[in-house]
Amino acid sequence: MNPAFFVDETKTLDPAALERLRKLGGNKFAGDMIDLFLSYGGKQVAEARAAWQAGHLAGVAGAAHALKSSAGNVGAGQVQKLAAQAEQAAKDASSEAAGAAVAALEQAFAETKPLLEAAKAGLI
Amino acid sequence: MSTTTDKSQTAVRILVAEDSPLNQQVALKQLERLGYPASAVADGSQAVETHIRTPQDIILMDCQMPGTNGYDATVTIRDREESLAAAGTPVKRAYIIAMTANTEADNRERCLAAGMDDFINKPVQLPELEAVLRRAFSDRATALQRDEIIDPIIIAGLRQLRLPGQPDPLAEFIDLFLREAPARLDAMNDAVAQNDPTSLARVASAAAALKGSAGNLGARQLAALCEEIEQTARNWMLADTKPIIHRARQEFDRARAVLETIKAG
Repeated sequence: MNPAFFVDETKTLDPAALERLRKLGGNKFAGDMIDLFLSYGGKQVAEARAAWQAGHLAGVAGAAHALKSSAGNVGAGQVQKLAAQAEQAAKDASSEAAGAAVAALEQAFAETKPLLEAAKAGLI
Repeated sequence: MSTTTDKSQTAVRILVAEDSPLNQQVALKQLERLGYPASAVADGSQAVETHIRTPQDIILMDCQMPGTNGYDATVTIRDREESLAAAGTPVKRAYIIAMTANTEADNRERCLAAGMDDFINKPVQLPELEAVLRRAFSDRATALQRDEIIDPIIIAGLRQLRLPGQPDPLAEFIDLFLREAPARLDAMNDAVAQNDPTSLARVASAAAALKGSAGNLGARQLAALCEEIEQTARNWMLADTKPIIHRARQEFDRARAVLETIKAG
């Protein structure tokens, strides 16, 4: 399999993923997908946090899983990686590790957001 | 004759079952780019409902969805296909492709156990999607070819004859046919080779008998070839039956292959 098709998880934002979206559906489509990720992803991060605070680890795993798979499509590598960690920690029933991963995930999402917004501005 | 490939690509119905709106939109756009407008639902129970309302050819199924997940939805769809087939309703089997996160190493076995046919890693990329669809279409083309060799409606009807605690009559019919047909074809060949005053009548009667049993098992093309042999013999053209008998034997080989899989499955 071509490694170029995978998101580089070491990067906060992988421009190759956005380029693929642009090629797939044009600038407007790529911009819409960024918007969708920011609104839906923001909701999932908040859900993961709320679930963790409620001690509901299955909820953390569910929200993190959903976020992980969406993040791959927009190249939000750091979010994808940390969402995977949060999901795993929650599945391992490790509340402490899940809490740390959720906090790191919140930070990564906050860092990724302006980058995606800038990328979207560049598309227009 | 229309080509199977064209038909399968224009009339194909594809459903995406995926809870992430982003992934859903990307998958729909990718399918559109490949020439397959598709529809989408957000969870497993909606996928089952949609499939029951409008039978889908291919379902791209996310494994982990809130509510009914992809595994359970697939089990429901397969159970329904089996009970419909057992009740004698011919049913087109949906080709279900699991969309899996590549981190989950044990996923594939679980997908197969649930009755899924193939897998694609997420995030779904265009070349992989194209490849997995190509495999789905080739599977579907094979199914269509099988249906042309042995009529599935006849088989579904014979399945209904099964009674609890009794041997499966369909398996018995198949065994009987697989023994009878080669003997009839040999009888026709022998009669043609002997070329004596009884040859025409022997060819015609063997062809008529095989036509009947082939028709009973839904081997339509074989039955049609037997009809052609019978008519040719009744028109006194013994030598002309030879190439048709040859074609009938080839068609019987194809029918045998399909019948053996029907019996096994």
